[in-house]
Amino acid sequence: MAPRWRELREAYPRIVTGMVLGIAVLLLTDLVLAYKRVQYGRELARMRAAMKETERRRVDAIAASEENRLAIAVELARRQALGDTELHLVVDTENGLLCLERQGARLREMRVRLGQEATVGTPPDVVLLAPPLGKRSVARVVDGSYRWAVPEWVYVERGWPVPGDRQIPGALGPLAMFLDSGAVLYSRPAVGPLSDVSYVLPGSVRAEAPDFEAIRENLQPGMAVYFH
Amino acid sequence: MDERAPVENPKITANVARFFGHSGGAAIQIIGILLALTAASIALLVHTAGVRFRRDLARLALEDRLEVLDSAR
Repeated sequence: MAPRWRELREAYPRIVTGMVLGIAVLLLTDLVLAYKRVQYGRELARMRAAMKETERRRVDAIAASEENRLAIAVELARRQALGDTELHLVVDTENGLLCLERQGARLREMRVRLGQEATVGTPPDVVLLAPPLGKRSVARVVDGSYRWAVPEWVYVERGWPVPGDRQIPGALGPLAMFLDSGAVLYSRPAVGPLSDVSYVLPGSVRAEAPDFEAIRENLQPGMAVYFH
Repeated sequence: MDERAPVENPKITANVARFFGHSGGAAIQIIGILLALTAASIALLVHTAGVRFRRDLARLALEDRLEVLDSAR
């Protein structure tokens, strides 16, 4: 017996509409999941390509045994941030958000862009820069007068000629923070190779200058920054 | 002890039977599609979470911060 869709729709319009909506939502969810799967897969492939064989084996061994523990560790970092009574920053790498928080209270939320992972340097001295994970702290806060020695690889990556003097005042924007891991949280500068709106320094975080300006007084060396 | 047999509501039973018997199995098909899609979504979610976990692990390894795992002990 052939199914008679129209008849069902006419007999049960609300139920059928609900089911069709359910199917649409599930299909949309699958599309989002598939997109994220491809994104994660690409990032993973890039990182594995930058690893040595021994590192790859080590990671595979841990992956086989410690899945739950990493999930717990990341959750711990999140909870640690919630319980932190000092003013701190939280970077939600998944949603591209930087938040100023205290004990779970969100005082300010700003959109940020995270730099993709990138392998920099010339072989055999190559380094893979990836956004941090877990707890970090602010090592130094600098303003627009800071003369940042732009690494040579930034010019190479951007396809720009490497100048003789790579120290550019304001190359990290009006306000920037160096973390203890070496990663940088910066605002978009008006000069230098980071001024391009489409380019974010690999392994770092870029915010909009007005957002950083608004929390300028709160940014201190030693301040915790939680990445999750 | 007062043990009573569960009372079936004949109206509901008849409605359910009519819904499933309606339209040449169209109702069964649409429910089948919903169930299959739900199963596929769950499988994709689990798989994606696994890939994300391996990415996070690779990130920690490259940062040489696998001690983060110890914090969960």
